[in-house]
Amino acid sequence: MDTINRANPHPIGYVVGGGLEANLQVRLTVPPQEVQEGSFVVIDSGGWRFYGLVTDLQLGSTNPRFADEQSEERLPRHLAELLHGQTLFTNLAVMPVLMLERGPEPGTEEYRLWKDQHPEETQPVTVKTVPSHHSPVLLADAADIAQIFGEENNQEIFRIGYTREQGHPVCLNLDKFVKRSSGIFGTTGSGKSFLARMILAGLIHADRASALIFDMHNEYGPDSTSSDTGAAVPGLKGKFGAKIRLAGLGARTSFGKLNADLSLEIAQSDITSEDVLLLSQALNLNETAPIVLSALERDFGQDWLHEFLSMETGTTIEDENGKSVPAPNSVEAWAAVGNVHPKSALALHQRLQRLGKSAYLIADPATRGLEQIIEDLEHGKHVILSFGKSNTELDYLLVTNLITRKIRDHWGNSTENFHAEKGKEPRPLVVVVEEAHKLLNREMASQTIFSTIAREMRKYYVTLLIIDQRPSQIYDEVMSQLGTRISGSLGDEDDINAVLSGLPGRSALRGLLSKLQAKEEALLLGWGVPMPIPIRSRRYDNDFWRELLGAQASPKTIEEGNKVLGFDSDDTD
Amino acid sequence: MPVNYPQIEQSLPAYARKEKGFQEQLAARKEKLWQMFLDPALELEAVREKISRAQALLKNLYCAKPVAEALLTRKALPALPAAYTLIAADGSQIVPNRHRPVQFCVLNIGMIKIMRGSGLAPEINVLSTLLEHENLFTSEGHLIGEEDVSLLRDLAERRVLFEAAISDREPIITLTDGPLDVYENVTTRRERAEQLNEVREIHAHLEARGVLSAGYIDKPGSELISRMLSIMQTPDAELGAYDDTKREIRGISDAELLEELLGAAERSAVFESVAKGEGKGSLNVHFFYLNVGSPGQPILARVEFPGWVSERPQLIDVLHSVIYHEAMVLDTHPYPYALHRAHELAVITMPEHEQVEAMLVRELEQAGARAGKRSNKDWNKGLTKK
Amino acid sequence: MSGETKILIGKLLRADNRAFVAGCRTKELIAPALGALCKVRLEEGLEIYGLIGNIIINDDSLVRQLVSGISIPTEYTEDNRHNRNLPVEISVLCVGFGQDGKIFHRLPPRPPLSLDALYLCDDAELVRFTSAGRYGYFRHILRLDDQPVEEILTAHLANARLAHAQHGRADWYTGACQELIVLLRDDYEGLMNVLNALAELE
Repeated sequence: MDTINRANPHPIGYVVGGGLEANLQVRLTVPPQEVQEGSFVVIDSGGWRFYGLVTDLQLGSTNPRFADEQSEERLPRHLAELLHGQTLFTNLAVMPVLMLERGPEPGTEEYRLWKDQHPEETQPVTVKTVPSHHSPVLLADAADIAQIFGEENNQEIFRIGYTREQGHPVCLNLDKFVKRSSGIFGTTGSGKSFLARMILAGLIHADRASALIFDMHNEYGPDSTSSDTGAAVPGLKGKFGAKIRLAGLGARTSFGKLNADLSLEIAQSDITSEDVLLLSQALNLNETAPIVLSALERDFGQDWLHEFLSMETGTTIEDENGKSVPAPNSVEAWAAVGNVHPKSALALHQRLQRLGKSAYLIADPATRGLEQIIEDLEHGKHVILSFGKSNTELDYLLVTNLITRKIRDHWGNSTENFHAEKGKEPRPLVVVVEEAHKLLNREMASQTIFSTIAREMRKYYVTLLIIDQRPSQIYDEVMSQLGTRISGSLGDEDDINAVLSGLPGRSALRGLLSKLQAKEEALLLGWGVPMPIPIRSRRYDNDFWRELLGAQASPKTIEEGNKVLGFDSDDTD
Repeated sequence: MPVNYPQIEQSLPAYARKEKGFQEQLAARKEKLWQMFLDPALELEAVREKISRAQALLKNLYCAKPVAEALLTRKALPALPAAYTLIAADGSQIVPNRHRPVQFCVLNIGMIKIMRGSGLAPEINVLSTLLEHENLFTSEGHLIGEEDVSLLRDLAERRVLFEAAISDREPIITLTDGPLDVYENVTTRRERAEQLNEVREIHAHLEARGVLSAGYIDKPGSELISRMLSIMQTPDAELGAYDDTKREIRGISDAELLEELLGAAERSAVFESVAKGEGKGSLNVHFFYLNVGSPGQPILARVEFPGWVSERPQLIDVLHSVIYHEAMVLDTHPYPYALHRAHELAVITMPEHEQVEAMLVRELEQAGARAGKRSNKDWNKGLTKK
Repeated sequence: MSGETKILIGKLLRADNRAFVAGCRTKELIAPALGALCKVRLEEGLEIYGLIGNIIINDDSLVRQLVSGISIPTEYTEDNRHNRNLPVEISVLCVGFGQDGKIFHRLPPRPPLSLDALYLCDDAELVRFTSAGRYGYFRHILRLDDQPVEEILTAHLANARLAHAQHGRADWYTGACQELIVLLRDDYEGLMNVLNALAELE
């Protein structure tokens, strides 16, 4: 980067003190109303450009009396005005984050020599030193933002929003975003689901990874109506057509007006005892359950559930002696043989009935739903799994964990093959989970596959995108593993702290987080973004789709979309 | 250096006693003189006749002679003319000093011309003259001294007055501090004779123009009237052998005597100043005493003027009122304002003195002449000066 | 130095590098005002600029006597007003010097040793002096501790502002106010005194 012609070359202040640990202190030379908390600023000093965030504004005076006495009343206006900035001043606290070596003044001999030594474009690095006293501080312009966050290219550099004070575009690098597990947080109504949809749309459009979306509330696939405004909200299926596969849990699940592309039925034989134990609370299992489960697995192997559910209870027959004994196909009978207390077995049997009644968990599924899903994902398609009527917490926990586990195992094998040069590189996969605190709280964290995935950090090309409104409930070890965090407004102090877990500069960012405006603003932070920055979110509306897909590609219906993509309208594989 | 106060203190009581005694003596004498003055036998013509006779008989005579008014005359203050011109001059000098690096003489004459009745600010002027080099030494080759310079200064004052005494606002009165005439006490020299002549001429011209010249003596100590009374006491027979040194009543000035007589703003009778013998001046001088004090606190000054003025009594009135009013301008310490100003204008301060000396030294050096050095005595004096 | 108002100095009473006091004649009392810019010639090519900081009319015994008189005829009061060298002391604060045409806001290399005249600077010269540099000469005024700083400053700024409005820079006065605020930002009393005095100029 050589020179940048600035749109607004006037400094807003100059450095007067502070440091790396405690933030830089900047004396403001413009009225404080021109700068906001969270503003992105640049500071040039000694051949380096520093990039930082305004985290606080403080009023000060050289003598408290200047502040106390209203000079506007005592002195003529122009004299009173002159006091501002001198005896009365405002300091900014600026958190320096990045610095970029720019070299000497362009056009000079020194610059030529320096350029010889640094032929490539220099890249921003984490800040390691400070600008000198009196270095001018300027509001970042669009070029600065593009320098740090990338220039939108309608591919992996995705415009996620705008700077709050000046409206410059801010981009998210989707490659980096999916390189580690990430999270989108915010209270209900903070706009996080719109953010999620936009990012997913960008991801799908950029086609750098496949997405598996567990759509618990049927929000992502079909068009729907915004609960707040009543306006129509475009869905992903409508926009991306055949790229998206709508999967329904259980046969004949539909998505409102849309039909499912495939139904997902899960074989009972796929359920392991761990899957069941995961649901201890939901199923209200007692402490004997684990023993019984392990005995069942021992005795029946993979088919234990089917076998167990097929057993009768309370059935008796008479034996040779005329004594009433448990019928052979009864739970009691098995318990006696399996060295398990009958009561425990009965208790378990009773509890597992729910599973038996489930619409999607069947002994012998007709379809190869799960395999189909895996295939689709491998081939670059994206899957949205709707839960249909089976959307209880139990269903959610069971299905998400099971499927993810299977997929993760598959991906794990593919990766090993790849490393052994026996196969090609696996397609990166992002698993999108909502209500993550149900799956990733402290109690569950060790049991679900999700925390494993979070910790693995894409060793096997699988990452998570968790979407949640109670981040404080999420196991903080998992939270601290999240790469990128995008947070809308959060009301709770614990939630705010949770989002910041594992990140440096927490106290400065806490203030920013707590003051985000609901539905409009979000804070980008974490490993996946070059530096923390508050943004005004991009709007998820028809303009968004137009910009993403191009002017003509904003089909209003599936039919139109399919036509555009060359598919028949009734292709619901 | 430090005065030995204790030594002095010891002598003080005796001194005070003696002074007291002396004062008592004086008081007695004054009373006696006063009585003599009141003697009704001292009638105007009688006195004039006797003094004239003494004048003829004696070689040295220095006393007062009444002119046309009775001895005990007290004249009230006449009206002040609505318009007049009062010109006063005073001089100051730098006397050549052989202790200094260069020898030179400067005469500094200050003049003020007040046009009463005009409402205008007075004219002022300062005339500074460096004495010509050839006049710096006497014919004997000595550096001229204090008295020579004083004479020159007096002369300069009169010249200035003479030149200034032209005005369309009449009457014109000129005023100097001290006796009207110019006196000197050392042996006559030809130059001095010329100088005296010049004075006489000046006064003649002034008379011709009708300009009233006056001299103002503040705190006069002379005993001219006392001597006159003494002569009147002398029997006719002994008149020819009058010896003033044997005068009985001495030490009472005329002013002290007339204090008893004159009320505030009043003047005494006009007297002629008879001066015969050594130290005689060139003019015919008349005078009166004027009380410029307040009731109960008499302050007497003597006003001298040329004799011809006495011939016109209204001119005497002019002098009386003008000079009285002039003194009253500074009423807390009565003294003619014009003289005070003239003096102020004439004064040469030490820095000014040194400045002139420095100018001269510079000029001499430029001209290639040598400037001498201060005498060691003088230089050392400078050290201890505060 | 033609065309400038010239005040004849009776004598130089005291002088050091920072200030000097000169005696002058009463009649000219109308001419120098508090805060006016004046200059004296030190030697060829070197002149000292100063601000009139104080004008003292000392006691004069003659005037006192005169004043106690009953009614003083006009001629005598006129004599005192026009002729007499009333002991008026003009106290001048050095604010800079000019050497060979260049203006410096530092103290002059030497104080005047003797003076015959003080020249009042006209508007053009006032603009020239105040435009040089960056208000550096303010520090000489602010350094005073025995004279009313804000009064001298305000009087001077009032003159300078007017002069600049006609001949100089329109933003000079604002710049001067800003500079004062910067110099006095840590001195609340001092700064408010100055600003309150300047407020009157509005």
